[in-house]
Amino acid sequence: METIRTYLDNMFQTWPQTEEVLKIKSELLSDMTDKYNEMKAEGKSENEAVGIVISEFGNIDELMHEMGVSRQEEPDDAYRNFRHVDKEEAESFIRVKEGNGKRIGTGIASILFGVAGLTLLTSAVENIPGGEDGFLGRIMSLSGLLLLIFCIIAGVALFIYSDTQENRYKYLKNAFHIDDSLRNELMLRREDGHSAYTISVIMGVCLCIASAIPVISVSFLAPDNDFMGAVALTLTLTLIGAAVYLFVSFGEKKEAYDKLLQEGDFTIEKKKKNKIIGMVASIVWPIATAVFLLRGFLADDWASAMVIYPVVGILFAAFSAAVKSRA
Amino acid sequence: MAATEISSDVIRGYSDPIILFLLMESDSYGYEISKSIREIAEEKYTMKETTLYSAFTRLQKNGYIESYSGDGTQGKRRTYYRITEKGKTYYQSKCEEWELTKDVVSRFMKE
Repeated sequence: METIRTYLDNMFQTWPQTEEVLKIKSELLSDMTDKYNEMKAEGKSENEAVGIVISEFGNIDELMHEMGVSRQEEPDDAYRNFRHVDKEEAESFIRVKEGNGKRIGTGIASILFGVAGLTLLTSAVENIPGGEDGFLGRIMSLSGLLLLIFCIIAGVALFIYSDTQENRYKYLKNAFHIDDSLRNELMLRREDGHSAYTISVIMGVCLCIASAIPVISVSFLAPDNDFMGAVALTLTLTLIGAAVYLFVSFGEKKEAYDKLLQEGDFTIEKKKKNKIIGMVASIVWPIATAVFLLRGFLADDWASAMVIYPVVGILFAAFSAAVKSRA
Repeated sequence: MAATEISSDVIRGYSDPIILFLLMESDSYGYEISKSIREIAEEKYTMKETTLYSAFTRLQKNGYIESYSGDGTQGKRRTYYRITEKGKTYYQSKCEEWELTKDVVSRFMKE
């Protein structure tokens, strides 16, 4: 239903908003709403109903011509200075964003995997013959560290690659112009993907909440068993990794559409706030990692060093929510 | 080639009498009229929203219909249209024009 309203707003956008025009616009909205509701009542799907209503709208030029209204000059002039984004560009941008979602998601999961591997290996060391000072123990500690370094390198490489891919579309950060027909198509497609996006967010949140279960269970059932603690942390990280992958991969796809339609987080005001959050993130997370590594090496207690991540994660989420909600 | 759709060029000249025909039965508003058109045409023709409102604008300008505000079937305020005497005369003349058009064109159409 929101799509119909936006569609109508777009159709009337470049015409003078006289009293007469606005009156017809509100009549059209009532008509289209009635039509939509009736089709929904007949059992048609959301997309089908929206599609039919939009396809039966007709041609706004015909109506305006009959009303003796001519197009506003100013927005047209303004449009001339805007970069025009065509269908091909939009499609390739969406493809890049979809790929980036998967790449960034995999990158984060890879780093989490490295941390989990290191934790597991270092706590397993204590239970093997020879202990941590034996030859096998040293090999395991070393391979844990190498694994972490390798995973971080892989993750960072994926981040950098994704970033350079998206950099080709830097101009989308400024105001640009797309055709009405492309806008309509993108809106319908975003509508199509909306339920998948919602489901992925719900699943992600559930996974995040469920990720507390292994750690809590072990702290109740086997509070003194370091190795069980490490296993629980691994499970927790796996669940968080899966959740992050869902958030990022579906989030990037949705972002592609929002960006092209210049809606949601991509109005000028919101773009500024995202910049602040990005800057803080680039300082906070490396510090957290430094603290994690220092504490791990100095106190040789990787399991409790890990706690820094969920703590910083929650604080950071609270911070970004606060920045976003500030009017 | 079998025709599956009505020619929009031909029917465009007759959107005015189509709407007037319905208004002669009773006063009505946008959505109700477009629904009646679809039903009477047995889904063979759907008048586009902009075509409908272009016609309302034109008919009103020529004094064939008048508008007033009333409550729609779903309780919303809607703009209702009522046909005027001038509109009824115009409708009659369009009917005669159609008869003539049909008569002439059909002479050139093989079954």
